[in-house]
This record gives sequence, structure tokens and C-alpha cells, in this order.
Amino acid sequence: MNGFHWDWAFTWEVFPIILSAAKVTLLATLLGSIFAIVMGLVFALLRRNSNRTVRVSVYWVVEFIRSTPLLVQIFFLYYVMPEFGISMSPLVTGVFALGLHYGAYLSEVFRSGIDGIEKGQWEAARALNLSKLDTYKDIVLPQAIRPMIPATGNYIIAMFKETPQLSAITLLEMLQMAKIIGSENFRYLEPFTLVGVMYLVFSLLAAFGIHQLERRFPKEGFSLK
Amino acid sequence: MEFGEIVSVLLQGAVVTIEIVAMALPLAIIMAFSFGLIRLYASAPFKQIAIFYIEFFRGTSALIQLYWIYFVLPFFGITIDAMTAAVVALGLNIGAYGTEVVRGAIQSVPKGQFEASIALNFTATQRLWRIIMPQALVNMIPPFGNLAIELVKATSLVSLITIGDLTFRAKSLADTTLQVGEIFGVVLVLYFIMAQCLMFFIKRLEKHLSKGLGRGGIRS
Amino acid sequence: MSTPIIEFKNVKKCFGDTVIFSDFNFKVEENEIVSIIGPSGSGKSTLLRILMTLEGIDGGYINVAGESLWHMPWQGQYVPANNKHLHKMRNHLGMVFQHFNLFPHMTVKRNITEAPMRVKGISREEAEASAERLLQLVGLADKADSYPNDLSGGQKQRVGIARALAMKPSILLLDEITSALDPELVDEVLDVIRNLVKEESFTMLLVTHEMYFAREISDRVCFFDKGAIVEEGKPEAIFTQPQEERTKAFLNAYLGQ
Repeated sequence: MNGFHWDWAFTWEVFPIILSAAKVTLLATLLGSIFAIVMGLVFALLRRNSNRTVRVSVYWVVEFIRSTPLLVQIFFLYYVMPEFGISMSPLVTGVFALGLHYGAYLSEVFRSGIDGIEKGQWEAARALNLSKLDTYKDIVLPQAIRPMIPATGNYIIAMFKETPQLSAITLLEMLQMAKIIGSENFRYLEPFTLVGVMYLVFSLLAAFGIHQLERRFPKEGFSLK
Repeated sequence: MEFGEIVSVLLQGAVVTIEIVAMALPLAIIMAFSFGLIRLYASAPFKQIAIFYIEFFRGTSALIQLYWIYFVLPFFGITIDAMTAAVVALGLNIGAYGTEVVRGAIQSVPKGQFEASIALNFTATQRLWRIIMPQALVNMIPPFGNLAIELVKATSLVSLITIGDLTFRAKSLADTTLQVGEIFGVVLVLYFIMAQCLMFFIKRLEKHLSKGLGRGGIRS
Repeated sequence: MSTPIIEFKNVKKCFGDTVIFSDFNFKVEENEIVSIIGPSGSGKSTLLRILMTLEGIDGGYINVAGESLWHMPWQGQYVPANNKHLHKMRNHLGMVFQHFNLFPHMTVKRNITEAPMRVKGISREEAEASAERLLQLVGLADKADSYPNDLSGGQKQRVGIARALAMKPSILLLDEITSALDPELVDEVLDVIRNLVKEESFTMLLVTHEMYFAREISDRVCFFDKGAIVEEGKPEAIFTQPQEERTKAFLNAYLGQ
């Protein structure tokens, strides 16, 4: 029985390896976030489309994605995409899955954020004969962004915490690394605890960062150039 | 493999998924109430413990929590089988989120109710259990419903510690046959159905409990 | 000379940086009906809330029925009261709220019987009999099994009065009990108070904007402004011959003469 004492030497030995795997985790999170924000906007705007069929279909697509597990969606992309001749690396598969999954969640945030802009703003823009693109760019989005920051930030943190699921398709992120180290050395305590702590530290830092970001955004909105 | 065979294997997995939910959900609810109330009303040291539990399970990754309980605890002499590890990890995780639901619901009861209770000289305990809780419970149903759906989705993680749930069966089938489209299509639909059933049940429960409170079961 | 049933001595109360009372003194005799009128934010409601132990004080003493409310004797000294002491003192007091604060998950009857049963240990039969009598008194005998949400504002407030009376307080605190009601519902509530005053003797403190009502039933009227009593006296005196400028201004604005 190995437990009950913490092997510091082992910890220091293992730390740099896990840290390098952290780069993969962060990369997956970054790319996934970008994709998710894009998908979120697409879904949100489609839900405001004048065509009812479009609106309803997108509603059910979003509902479906939100009601099913991320892990299954990851497996789906990993196994099914090759059938269509598309083979993607674990990282790309992961980014796609994260982007779709969290894009669905973010679409709700964006939708209510845009809906939260009072009607008068839209009417004033129309009265000034602004194009739809300009309306969104200069009037709606600058005002909508600040209130959406906390919720968006929280979802990105949630995404970050779900990246370990990509270990299931052998992406060499932190958990996968910890598993490999653990099984090679027959000691899981230090690797897993280390990874857990790193997730905790990163999440807290991110939460703090989001709070700061929210504070720095002027309340009245700003102009997108 | 026949489609019917695929479906029957997957349904067996679905049964395991439901079993896990049936065990983890009560644990989560117990944790949510105990630690939610401790967080609100207990003295400082206990409150700190509650805060620690909540922040820890919410701030770290669910899969890592699961792995830790399954792989690391044995080294401390605590050997548990995969099912128990799964139920405990998921119950504690969802329970931590649940504490915020309990806290939020209690704090959303109008202040006037507290004041009327003080004026009528109820003790703090009577006030909590006879006046505040019955009103808070109705407010807890929708968010707890959402957490239940999160729990169903989280059970997919147990496939990674080789428990034969729906996701595990799907992956095994996918690794052995080539009918990946059918397999994962059915799996996604099964999870979707489970989530929708839960939502339906939750809405009915909310409607039933808010009779007489004049709210008509509409989620606000 | 009898001891006043309520006595404020040098009471100080602040909310953060705002001072509500700096050195407040006030007396109420037993069975006296006192109306407190004045502009919003003058501290009138705070006065009642302090008595009902919903707010604390930052200085001074308050006596209720001869005993200190917010302090208790301990080893020959007076220390801030603990919960047990406050619980004991609350037996003297009852309050009716501006926004009713009825318990929405209980029937009207249960709203009235719950506290007597759970706090005073009265039996269910006795509590229910008492509730029925009180509902008769407020004119809602047929609503015993209704829920608060099915009632109008005036009916809710009448239940609120019955609920407070069920605990048999010697001092009744009425905090703007008609201010949240539509005008046509005000009278049914005031009638209940009128009857109450006729049938039984109570010490009553009313914070109200209903000037005619205050004039009609009070033994004394206090005009309150900025945390102090500007002028007080018999209703006739205050309403027909106010002495202070501020009183005059307030009454003019309110009664529009």
C-alpha cells in the first residue's frame, strides 16, 4: 500500500510534464471558446430570423445539443466524421465538439442579451436609416456586450473544466497526461491531485479575470470600429 | 449487427444510467440541503467547511473528481467499487451546485415573511421550517430540475471508469461494429428523451406544488 | 402616577451614516391610542419596527410594560438582550403590516391559528375556536378555508389584523395598514379597528396617513418629522389649531385647506 504520504520528489518530477500538457488544455479551451462564441452568435441570430421554420429548427437543434452529454457529442464527431471522409485530429475534434456544445449554451446568453436591448434603440436606428449591419455593429452589440460578460465567462470556465473529457479521444491534455504518468508509476495520488489543483487555480484566476474585464467595460457601451 | 440488437444493448446501458441517477440524485439533494443551510445559518467554522466543499466541487473538473475518488482513494485504504465511486462523485458534485439553489430560493422569499414571523414570535427554527421553507421549496423546483438534467449528462463520464452505462455501451459497440451513425444517433436520442421526460416531470411537480400560492406553475 | 406601558429614553438609531433618532424620548400610557402622522422618511415606521424588535437601537433604553426591551439584567448590570429575552418581551406586542405579509402557503384559518398553537402551545380546538371568533369580528367568517391569494387587499389586511389579535397582545402596532390598499377598500379595514376600539381596550400605536380616522379614534396625535416629535396633543388641538409651522404646512398639504 503506497498511500498516506505525499511524495514531493515525485511531484516536482511530474509537474513540468503536466504543465506542458496544460498548454494543450489551454489551447483547446481558447480555440473552443472562439468557435463557441461564433456558433453562439450564429444560433442567436438565426433564432431571430423572420422565417418561422428557421427559428423553430434552430430552437430544437440548440435544445438537442444542450440536452445531450458533451462526451457523447465528442465520441459522435470522433467516430462519425471519418464516415464522411473527414478525419480530424483529437484536438480539432475536441474543439469542434466544445464549440458546438457551448455554442448552444452561449446562444441563449446572446439571445437574451440582445433581447434585453430596449425596443426604442432599434426604432431610433431605423428612423436614422441605419443598415441592419450597422445597427448591430454600432448600436446593439456595444450595449449588449457588457451584461453578457459574466455569463459568457462562466461558460468558458465550464468549458475549460470539461476539456479533460477529451482524454477519452486520446488528446494529450492534463488529465490524459496524469493518467499515463499514474499508470506508469503506479502512483495516482500526486498526478491527479496536481491536475485537480491546477484546474482549481486556473478557474479562480479566470473568474477573477472575468470580474476585472466586466469592470473595465464602460457601462454605457463603446463603439466597435 | 441488427438495428434491434443495437437498440437492446443500448437500452441495457440506459438502465444503468438511470440506476446511477436514481442513487446520485438523492445524495445530491441531501448534500444541497445540508450544506445550503449550513452555509446560511451555521456559525463561522461550519460555514467555512461548507464554503470549502462548495467551492472545491464547483471549481474543479467533474471528471477529475471522479477519477480521484476511483483511482486515488484506494491508496488511502478506501477501496470502493466503480459504481459507488460514480454515485459519490456525481452526488457530491451536483450537490455542491445544489447548495446555491437552496440558498438562492431561501433568500428569494420576501422579507415581509421573516418580519411577520418575528412579530408573531416564532422561534428561528419554526420560522425556517414552517414559514420560509414551504415557500422556498416551490422556487427550488425548476433549478433543481436543471441540475437533474445536468446529472443525467454527467453520468456519461462513468463510461470512462468502465461502468456499463449508455455511453460505455455506445463506445464498445462503435469499436466493434461499423454502424457508428446508427449507434450514436440512437444514443443521442435516448439521452434527449431522458432529459425531456425529466423536464416534463419537473414542470408538473412545480405546478402541483404552487397550487394555492397563486402562481399557476409558470416559471418566472 | 402609573408607569407608562411604553417608554423611550434617549434612544439613538442610525442606518449606516444616516441618523434616524438622535435623542428620542416618548411615552405611551396603558390603553392609550396614539396616532403618529408626518412626512415619509421621518422615522415613524422605524419607531414601530424598533418596538416590534425588527430593528435594534444604537443607544438609549426602551421600556415595555415596565421592563427593558432591548436590555436585560445580568449580574446587577444591564446588557444587550439575548434572543430569549426578546422572545419573552414580544408577548406584549403585535403588529399589522402595510403589505399584510400573510403566509401564502396557509389557509386564512391556519394563518391565524399557527402562531398561537406553535408559539403559545394552545390546543388546536381552542386556537380554531378563537380563530372563528376573530374572523367573525373582522367579517370574514366565510373565508376561513380560502388562501390569501384569493382575497382582496382589504380582506387580506383584515386577516392580518385577526392574526395579530390571535396572540392577544396588550400593545397593537399598526404600520400604515391602509397605505397599500385601493381607496374603496380602506373603510372596511378602518371599520374593524373602530369596532375593536369599541369592544376592547388596547394600547395602540398607529402610523397612518388617514387623517380623519386618526382624528376620530385617537387619544393623542403626534406629528413626527426628522426623527422627533414636533408637536403632540389631543386630536382636536392638533388638527384645528396646530402651533408649529411644520405641522401647519404638513396638514395644509394633506388636508388641502
